[in-house]
Amino acid sequence: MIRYFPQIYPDELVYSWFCRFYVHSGYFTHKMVLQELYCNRSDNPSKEFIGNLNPEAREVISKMYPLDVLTLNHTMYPRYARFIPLEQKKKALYHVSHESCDVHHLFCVLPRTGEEQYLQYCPLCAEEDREKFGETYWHRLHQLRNICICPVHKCKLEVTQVSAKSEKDYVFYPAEQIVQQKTTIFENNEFLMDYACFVKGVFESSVDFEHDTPISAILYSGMIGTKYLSRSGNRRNTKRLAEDMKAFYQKMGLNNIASVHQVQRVLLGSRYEFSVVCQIAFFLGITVDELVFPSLSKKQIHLEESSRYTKDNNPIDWTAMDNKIVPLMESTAKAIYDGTANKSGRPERVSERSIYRILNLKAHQIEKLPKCKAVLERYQESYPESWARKLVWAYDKLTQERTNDIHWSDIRALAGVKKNRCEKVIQYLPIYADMLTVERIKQLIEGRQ
Amino acid sequence: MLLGKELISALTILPDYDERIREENESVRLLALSEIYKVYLPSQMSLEIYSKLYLSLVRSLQKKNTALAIRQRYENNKAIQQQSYCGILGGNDSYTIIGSSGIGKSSAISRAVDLICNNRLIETEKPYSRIIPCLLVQCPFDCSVKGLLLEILRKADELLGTTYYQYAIKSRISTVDTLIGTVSTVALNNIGLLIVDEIQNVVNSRNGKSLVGMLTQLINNSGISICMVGTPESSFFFEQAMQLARRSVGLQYDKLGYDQYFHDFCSILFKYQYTKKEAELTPSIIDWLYEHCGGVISVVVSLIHDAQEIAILNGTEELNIAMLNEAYENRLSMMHRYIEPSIKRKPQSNSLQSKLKLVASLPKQNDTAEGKSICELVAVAKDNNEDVVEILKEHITVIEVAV
Repeated sequence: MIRYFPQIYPDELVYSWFCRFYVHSGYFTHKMVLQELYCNRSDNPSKEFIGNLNPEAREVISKMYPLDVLTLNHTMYPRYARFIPLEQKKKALYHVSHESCDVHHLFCVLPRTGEEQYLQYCPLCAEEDREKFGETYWHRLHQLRNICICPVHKCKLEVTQVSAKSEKDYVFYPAEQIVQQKTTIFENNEFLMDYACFVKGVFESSVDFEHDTPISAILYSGMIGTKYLSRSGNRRNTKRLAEDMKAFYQKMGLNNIASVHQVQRVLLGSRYEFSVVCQIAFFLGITVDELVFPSLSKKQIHLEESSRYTKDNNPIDWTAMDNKIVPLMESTAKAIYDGTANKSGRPERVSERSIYRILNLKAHQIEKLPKCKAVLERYQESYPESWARKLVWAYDKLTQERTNDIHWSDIRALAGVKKNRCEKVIQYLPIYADMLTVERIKQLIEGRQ
Repeated sequence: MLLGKELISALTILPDYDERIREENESVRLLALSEIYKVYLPSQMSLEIYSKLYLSLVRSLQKKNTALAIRQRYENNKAIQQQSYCGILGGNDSYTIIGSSGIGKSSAISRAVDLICNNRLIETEKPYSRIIPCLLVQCPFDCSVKGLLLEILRKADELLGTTYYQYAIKSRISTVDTLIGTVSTVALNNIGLLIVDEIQNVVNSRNGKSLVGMLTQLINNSGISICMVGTPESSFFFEQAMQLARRSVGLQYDKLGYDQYFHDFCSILFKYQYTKKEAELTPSIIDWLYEHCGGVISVVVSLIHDAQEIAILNGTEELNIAMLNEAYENRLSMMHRYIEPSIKRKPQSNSLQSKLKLVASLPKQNDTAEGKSICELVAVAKDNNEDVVEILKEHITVIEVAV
C-alpha cells in the first residue's frame, strides 16, 4: 500500500514523477516500486504516458490529480493527439488515462532516431528546479521531438544516456541522479529560437475537445495567397512547398525535416503528425492561436475538402466482418479447447495469439469485433485450469489404452504439465473429473501408487 | 496542544465503579478487581512528558517537506544503493526520559501518545502522505541494530498497511546500511516521533554503542525526533561520551515523594473497593502504603489490588492493614530489597537460635492508635508474662527481621 507520494511539479512528466517516487519511497529495488505501481510483472514504466497502473496506485494518484488532467498536463498526449480528429482524440484521452493500451493504436507514434532516442534536459532549468524544489526533474517540454534548445532559456538541451523509449526498460532514472552541472551553450540562431517558442506555444495550449476542425483545413487556409496554392484553390503545389521547407529548415539547422510524402499526407488529411504540422504552420506564418484555436467557418472547411481528391478508402464494415468471422472463431476456439485441432488430441488453452495466427487477424482489430471478442472471453481460462484439463485428458487416455499401471511419468509425457505446477492445479481437477479420478491423479502426483 | 486542567482531564482514566459490585459473588468481584489497573491519574511527570512529546512531534513535522528533506531522501537512496552518503537534515531532536522502574514512565508515555495520536494518522494530500504521530518500539534485548531497524519497519507496516518489512526480509541486499537508508526514508515520510523504550538494554550489551550510533545516524538521516526511555542505569552509559550525552539530554524522574499527589492517588485508588465491607482510607494507611511502595506507583496499585484479592479469597472481605501486610509479605516478597534498601539482609546463620531484631514502624505521632505508649505496653507484657512482640503487634505494625 502506498503511504507517501510526492507532489508533481509543473510540466513534469509522469515518468519523472514515478522516478521521484522511487527515490522518495525508500524501497530497496526498482522491482518493488514497479510492483507498487503497475499491474503485471511485465509492465514497465512508460516514459511518455502513464502506463498500466494497478487499481490501488490509480486510486492514490487520482485522489491527488484527476487522471485526465494528469494526461493532459504531464504526459506527451498533447503532442501526439493535438491534431487528430475529435472522436479519436477523446477516445485516446480515455484509453491513455484509464486503461492500459498500446498507444500506437490510438495515434501515430513514429520511431525515434538520433538524439531523439534519449531524454534531454536544460542545465538552466535544472538549476532553477534545484533552487526552487531541492531537486530537478524531467520536463515535458525538453522531450519534444525535433527541438534541441530550451524555449525558455534559449540554450542547447543536453542529451543524456537515458532512453526515451519505453520498451524493455524496468528501471527508474530520476533526473536528479542523472543531470549534471554542465556549461550552458546559448543558441544564436533566431529562427531556431522562434521555431522552438512556436512549438512550445502549440504544445502548451489547451487541447480543444469541442470543435473538430480538420488540420488540413487550417493549413489550407494558411496557404491561401501563397505560391503553394493556385488561385482557384484546387491545386496544391506540395512538392514546391516541401522543397522550400526543406531549404528553410536546413538553414535553420533542424534535425528531422518533413518529407514531401509527409507534407502531402498532412495536407490531404490522412496524417496528423505534430512535428510535420508545426513545420508547415511555422513556415506558412500561421500563428499559434490560429493553429490551435482556429476560427474557420463551415464554408471554409468545406472549401478545403472539396478542393482535394478524397480517396475512397472503403472503410471496413466491421459488423459484417464480425458476423462473418464469428462462426470460424467459434469452431477454431472449440477445436483448440477440446483438442481436435491437435494431432495428439490434447486439449490446449485458447490463447488470443493462437487464434489471431490461425485466422490471420490483427490483435487490435478484435476491439471492433464484439461478437468475436465475446467468443474469446468465453473460452478464457487460467493456466492452472488448462493444466487440470490436460491432466484429466491424459489420465483418461492412458486408462483407456493401457491395462497395466499408470505412472506419473506417463501422464507428464502426455499432458506436458510439470509436477511443481500441480499444487495450483489440484483445486480445478474436480471441475473436469469425478472424485475417483481426482483422487487417483492426486495419488500419482504425490507419488503414492 | 492541551494544557492545564484540560490536559489533566484528558489524561485521566477512571474506570466506572458501582458500589453494587460489592453485593456480587466472589468470582464477579475478582474479575472486576482488575479494573483497578486501568486507573490513571496524571502527575507532573505525565504533563511534562506530554508536552515534551508534543513539541518534539511538531518540530519533527516542520522538517518534512522542506528542500533539505528532499535532498536527504536522495542521500538515503544512496545508502540503499550501497553508495556513500551523508546526513543533511541533522537535528538535535533526541532526548531521554529516564526514571526508575515502576514510576509510570511507560504509562505516561502511552497516555500521552494516545492523546496525541487519537488512534489516527496525520493525513496530507499534497504530497500524499500518512504520518504516524508517535511510533513506539522496544530496544531489542540483544541490542541488535538490524533487529531494531526491522522492528521499526514492522511496526510502521502494521499501522500504515505498507510492506516494507516483507520486502526487507525477502531482499538479499538488506544489509544494515541499506536498512538504515530505508528506515530513514520511511521515518522521514511517515513517522513523526520515534520512541525507543527499554534503552537501558544498551548498557549491558556489546552492541550497545552500535545501537546508539545507529540511532544517531537515524536522527541525522531522517530529521525525526527520537525519544529514548529507560531506567537510571542508562544514564551512566550516555555520560560516557560527549556526543552521547548531547543527544540524551532530557527528563529525569526519581521515585515519587510523599506529597499531595500521592495522597490523591491513594484516595482515588481506595475508592475502587471490591470487598464486601467498606474500608476507610486513614492517614496511617497512606503512610503505610508510602513506606511499603518505596515511591513506586505500580507497587501501590499492586498492593491494593492484591490485598483485596487476598481479602476476597480468604473471606476477610475487608481492605485493611492486615490484608495489605499480607499482600506485601506474600505477593511482593521479591520487591522487599528494592523497597527497603536501608535494611540489609544477611544470609541466615546455621545457629539454632537467631536473634530477632525488632523494627517497629511507628505512626507519626509516636503513639499507638489507642493512646498507649510503648513503655506502658512493655510494662503490661512484663506484668502478664507475655511476649511483648505479640502485644506490640496488636497496636502498631511490627516487622521481624532475621539477623
